[in-house]
Amino acid sequence: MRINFNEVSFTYNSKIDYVLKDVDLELSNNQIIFIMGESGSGKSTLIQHINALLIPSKGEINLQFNDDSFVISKNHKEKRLKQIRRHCGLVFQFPEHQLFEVNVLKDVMFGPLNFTRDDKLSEEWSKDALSKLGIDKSYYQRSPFDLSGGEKRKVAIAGILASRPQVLILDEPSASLDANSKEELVKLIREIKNQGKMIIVVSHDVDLAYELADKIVVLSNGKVISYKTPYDTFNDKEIVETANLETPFVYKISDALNIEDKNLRRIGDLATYLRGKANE
Amino acid sequence: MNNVVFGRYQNKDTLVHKLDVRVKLFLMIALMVLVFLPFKAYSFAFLFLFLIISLVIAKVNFISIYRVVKPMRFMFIILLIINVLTIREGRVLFDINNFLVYDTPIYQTVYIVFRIIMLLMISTLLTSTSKPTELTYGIRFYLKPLTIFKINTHEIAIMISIALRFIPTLLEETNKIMKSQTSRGVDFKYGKFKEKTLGITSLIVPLFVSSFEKADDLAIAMLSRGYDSDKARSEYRRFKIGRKDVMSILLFILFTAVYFLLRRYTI
Repeated sequence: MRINFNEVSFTYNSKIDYVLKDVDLELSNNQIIFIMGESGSGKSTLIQHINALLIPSKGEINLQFNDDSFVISKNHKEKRLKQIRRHCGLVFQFPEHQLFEVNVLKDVMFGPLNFTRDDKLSEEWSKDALSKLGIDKSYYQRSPFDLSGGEKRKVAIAGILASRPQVLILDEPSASLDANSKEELVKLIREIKNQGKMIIVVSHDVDLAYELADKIVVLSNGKVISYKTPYDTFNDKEIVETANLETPFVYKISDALNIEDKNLRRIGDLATYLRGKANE
Repeated sequence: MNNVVFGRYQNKDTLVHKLDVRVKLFLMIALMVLVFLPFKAYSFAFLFLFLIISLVIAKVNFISIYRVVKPMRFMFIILLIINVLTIREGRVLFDINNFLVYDTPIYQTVYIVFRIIMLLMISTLLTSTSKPTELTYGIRFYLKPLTIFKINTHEIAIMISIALRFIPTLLEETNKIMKSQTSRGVDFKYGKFKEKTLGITSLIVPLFVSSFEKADDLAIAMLSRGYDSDKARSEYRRFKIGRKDVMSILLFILFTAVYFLLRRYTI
């Protein structure tokens, strides 16, 4: 599984003001990739290209899946856009706004039914996705509009996972989530990664990125200014300043204590490390 | 849908922007009356030219009007078919298998299309050059006489201005939901008719839900800031009819005179 951006530029309506400028990027297999940058830097535009919701104004995107490959460019009219969308599930910011069906199960089944036209298979995949998100049978017949905010979001994410995409794209998944829901989200992302899928996350949450990401893409004014591991990204002061990124809590402590262990990315790991040092 | 400008205020520094909103509202209503008068070719062409010049002065993007008119083409075609089938008078243009097509229904359709386009031009001229707060003030000014009948004119004015203000927000929301549902496999562009119909349900329901939520949030936000529609309200700015306003009214009177002269002496 590989996604290649070759010199991709994009403009919404004017030829001068490009939202993405000559983006060259290779995202590969089984990784959690975070896309970060200031508001308006082009993060959401970038991920909508992977899902073929936007077509590059210049350049092309090559999508290599386990069993199929696609090219998205202005000149190459790819007719199998629906297939691309099936392979790349995109969970928008506040996905709960897309809920519309009479009950939870039907809403989750909407995506897989559109892609497979198979009722039984869609139901099976939907139930599986719901159980992965911790939503039990008692919720199936409930109206999605009667659920709490966190539950609605889980149902909406299940609606995307139910189509069994090979790449999962999440736009600001942790926005307005409480601590427990955020923890569940971290668990879920790890679990999906373990299934051999690629996960792309757009986020402003530096702590989440530092903990989860295998690599971080930093965008500034539509350009990719960095594509490195979390430690190397936040260790580069120029990038942090240019993209106006905050510094993750764990990195900040490690840096203050001159700890050079790049694998310390969680508060728990840092605590264990410090305890060990204290015992020494 | 990102580029829809219809109903959205465009912050520009033009003569039309600077006019008093009461004058603009009056001129808009007067122009609409002229549009609804029985069709006469030369006078309507003159009115059309007047509107185009006004839009150019106001620096309104014509593409935005075209984008609103474009989706209406199917409605225009259906209108033409209905007119051809029901209006059976005028000069015979074609004879298709003993079915006579007359010229009157075609002219009628053209008049209607022309009128709709002109109405869109007039409303764009008003909404893109006046801020919602100004519009509220203007509407309230003209509704003032109704207070004699104990009608809360402020409430009506604020409802209209909120509705106008939310047109672009709802269009943005529609765009977002459309993208969400597209990524769930709905093909709004090339899908089959059945698929598109189902897709529209997936668009309308969330849109209604979010509209009601937004309305609720807005009502709470207004109440929490002490909004009371029954209380007399003061204005933080005073609107004053200036020289530009008087000049534009005089120009409009001149235009109307020429318009009626054209109606009288030409076809």
